[in-house]
Amino acid sequence: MMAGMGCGMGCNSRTMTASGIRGNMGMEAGMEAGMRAGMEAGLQAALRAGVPGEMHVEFSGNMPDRMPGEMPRSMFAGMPADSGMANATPAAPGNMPPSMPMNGANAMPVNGGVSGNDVMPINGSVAGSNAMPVNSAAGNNQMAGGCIMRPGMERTKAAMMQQINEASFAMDDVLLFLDTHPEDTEALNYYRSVVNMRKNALDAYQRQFGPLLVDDVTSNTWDWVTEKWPWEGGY
Amino acid sequence: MWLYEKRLQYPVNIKEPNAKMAQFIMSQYGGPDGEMGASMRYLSQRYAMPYGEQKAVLTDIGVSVL
Repeated sequence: MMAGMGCGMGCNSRTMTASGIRGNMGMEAGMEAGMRAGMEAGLQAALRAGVPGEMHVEFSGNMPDRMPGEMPRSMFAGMPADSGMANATPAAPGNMPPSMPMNGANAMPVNGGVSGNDVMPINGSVAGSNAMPVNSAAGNNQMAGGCIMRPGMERTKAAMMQQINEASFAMDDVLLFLDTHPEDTEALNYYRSVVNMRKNALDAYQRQFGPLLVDDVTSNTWDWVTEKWPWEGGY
Repeated sequence: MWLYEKRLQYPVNIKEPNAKMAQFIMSQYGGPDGEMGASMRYLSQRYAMPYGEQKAVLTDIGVSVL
């Protein structure tokens, strides 16, 4: 699910459906009850009826709450009001919304056009907190790369990673738009600016905190293997 | 070609292990209606797509799903 986001906008039929679970879950009693309760409502029903309080996977930290730069006006022209895209971009044409709707009640792009289904299946709560998950910070202030973590540095690290995330999201987004609007110079300029932003953000992070791309290993040792992986408290 | 970036596209913070949820998520990755299948469909259907824009869309969506 490298970029479920991009896809979620386009293809709502592939959001989590009841049949998806049925095929694979081996029908635990709780789930089955959920299924009977509301096949059409899919996972939503299963979650509510079948396994209350059991789904604890939570996404925290934050999505970009501010888009880098300004989106080209033309990107929103002629977009049908009821499409998934419209949900993802609730603001009027022109500027991107200053903050993306990130609490569970509002539709994520992933959930876009599924009617009457305004809660993301697997997020208990998407906290709008400004801190990235930095569970590595406490107790371990020696980074594997030999760089000593000073107080406040983790914060900087999180902020820098957030810049990468924002620029990358913007790039993925405008890239899909450009695929179908290759002549749009405004979008192309936006693309150039976010690519540049992403490149700078990546460079800045990697200079300080080690490689994110395997072709950017610059140290004298192979710190690709010594730096934390995302599932180990990295990003 | 797949290029790995050592970061998550969306921050994940698992508060406690949940085997049932894990199993479900795995099925969304690799199950019959999972991301992997969707990705492969996008990436193979693009060979039959006559229009440049749509070849690009299928490629980029296929990649992002992967």
